[in-house]
Amino acid sequence: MECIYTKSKALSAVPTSFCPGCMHGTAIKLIAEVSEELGIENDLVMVAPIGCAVFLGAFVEFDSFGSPHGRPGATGTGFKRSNPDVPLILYQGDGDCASIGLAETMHAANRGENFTVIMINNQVYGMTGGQAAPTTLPGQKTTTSPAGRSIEGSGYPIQLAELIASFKAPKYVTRQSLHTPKNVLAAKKAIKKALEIQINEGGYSYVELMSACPTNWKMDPKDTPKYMEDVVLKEFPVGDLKG
Amino acid sequence: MARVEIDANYCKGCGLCFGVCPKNLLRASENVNAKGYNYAEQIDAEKCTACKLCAIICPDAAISVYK
Amino acid sequence: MSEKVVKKGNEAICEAAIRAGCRFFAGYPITPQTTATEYLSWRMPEAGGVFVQAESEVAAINMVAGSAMAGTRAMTATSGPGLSLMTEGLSVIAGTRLPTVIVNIQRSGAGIGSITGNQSDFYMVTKTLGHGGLTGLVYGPESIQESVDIMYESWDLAEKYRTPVIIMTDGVMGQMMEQVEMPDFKEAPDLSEQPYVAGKRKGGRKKHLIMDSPYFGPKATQADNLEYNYAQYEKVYESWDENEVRYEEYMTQDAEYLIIAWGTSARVAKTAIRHLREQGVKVGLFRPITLVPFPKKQLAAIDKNKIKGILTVEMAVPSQFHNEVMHYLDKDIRVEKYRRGGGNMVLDEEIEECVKKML
Repeated sequence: MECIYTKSKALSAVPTSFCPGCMHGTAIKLIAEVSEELGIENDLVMVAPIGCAVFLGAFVEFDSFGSPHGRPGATGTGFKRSNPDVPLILYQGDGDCASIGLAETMHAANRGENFTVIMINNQVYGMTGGQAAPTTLPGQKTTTSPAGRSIEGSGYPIQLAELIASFKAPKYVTRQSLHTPKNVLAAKKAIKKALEIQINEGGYSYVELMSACPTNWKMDPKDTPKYMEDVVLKEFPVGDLKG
Repeated sequence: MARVEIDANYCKGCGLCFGVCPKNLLRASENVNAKGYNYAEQIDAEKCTACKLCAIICPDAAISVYK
Repeated sequence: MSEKVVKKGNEAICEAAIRAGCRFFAGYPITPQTTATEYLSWRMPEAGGVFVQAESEVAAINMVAGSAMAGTRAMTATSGPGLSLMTEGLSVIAGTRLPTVIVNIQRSGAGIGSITGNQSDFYMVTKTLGHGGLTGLVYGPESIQESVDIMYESWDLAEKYRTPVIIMTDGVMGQMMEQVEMPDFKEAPDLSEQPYVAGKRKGGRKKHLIMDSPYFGPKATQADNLEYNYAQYEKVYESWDENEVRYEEYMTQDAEYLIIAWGTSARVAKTAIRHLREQGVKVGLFRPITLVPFPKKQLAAIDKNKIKGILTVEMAVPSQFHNEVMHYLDKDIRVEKYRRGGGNMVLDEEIEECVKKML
């Protein structure tokens, strides 16, 4: 029998440290697969955020470097401007990208920096144990919104993809999801398109990936796809926003 | 003829693959791996069509598909 | 080719950076630093480097970190309020041990404070770079020429020790013009094989886990590795006490009185010393050039049998440099202080008066 699907060689020989059902693993798997398909698995560099993906470098065979919380947009700018031929992914969570690093994210997008942002949107701060994020849904209970996110006190979820799509410079802005095989394949296609733009014509690309955090949602991983389909994607619809 | 191979060291038993298998061939093993997870196992391998859906949804790249 | 030019302090130190092989600058305009950012906005691209006007100092310092991890000689320049915003990035740079250069053109006061020259970032920069207790080499030049000379060799030192280098000038030195001899252009070394440089693999060698803190090492746990690696850093810092201390002694040969000062204050003190010497007062100057490492041994060695009194001079209220000096001096020596704050200059005539009061 012939092997028709297996673990990408760009993934390291270490299982990820993510919780069962966490879709960070799916996103990193897709990046690894795309890097092989594009033949850049030896060149790609990833910026690891602060958050659950802080040890990203351990799970992939690419070069990677850490960045202070929210600052990948800045470290990425410095790195890529000095090293323009190296494909670069900024791998960030929603807290990193849309809260503490909002300024760095928006200005990098507005400058049209030639890198790809992969933003994992799971509506909570995962690593610190499930606090409210800028993306937390209205009414969603977290450890810092025990009565549910209040619109009066905390405002609405930030739809970062839509914000970034409003800038002139970005070449490709999309929101995809990782909750069904069909969506995973669409997400992979989006990551590939983003990297192709970066490599072939140059320009900023942003791929937001809707993801589950079963641990902090306090949900059986098996139930997360239905919740995402029925609830989360109503607030964060998937699809291309630009390019 | 097709089958899937699940790397018990990588599988965390999340069960996302159970729901996507069109033939319902995946379930949690009674055995646990080194980390204490009841990893996924395939039953009735002869019914597998190598559709890859389980491998695609797997967040831990634990599933290889053979045809 | 080295050349003599008349240049503004901020522009001169930036030109020296270009000649030292710096090819990346990110900065945010802030008085009295702005002319540095303006100068490099055209000069850096002209020299084939990258200039980015960052959205904030928070971003600027992290851009510098990113560029350093690409193997480039990178720098930023700022002033007090901007330096406060940079402490996060400085901490990361010190933790990753990235060779980078940061120029702090000091202004006065806390908060927004005032925009005039001052020396009140002494504690902030010399005690630790942001959180975590790590540090870097810190220089306090007294003139534009000395700023240029230190800048010119700063990356050589930064790369030798894998450390940030902070050059502390001030609004006075940054804004004034004087004649300065510019050094020749030199090429930056190829840093692609350095462990902190990502994305320039040769021969397929893979580098990963270039993190902002050294969690990895010979020990079994993350905590043990951090402890172990920071202890290695400490050894580097301690080696500076032996090998990198710089100071100037000015007219100290026969001195009975000593002024201890750094940077612009020291330069003004030299004028006062020349006047006092004309009046027969045997006074000299001890001037730390490195603020980290601080010339501890040299200060401790000042002889109480020879020196009748010491005056510290600084542009900072409350005192900072004075307190630091006091740690090391012989407790039997009489020490007075003269300082001006709020962005006021120390004045040579006031220094003279203070010395005369000790006679």
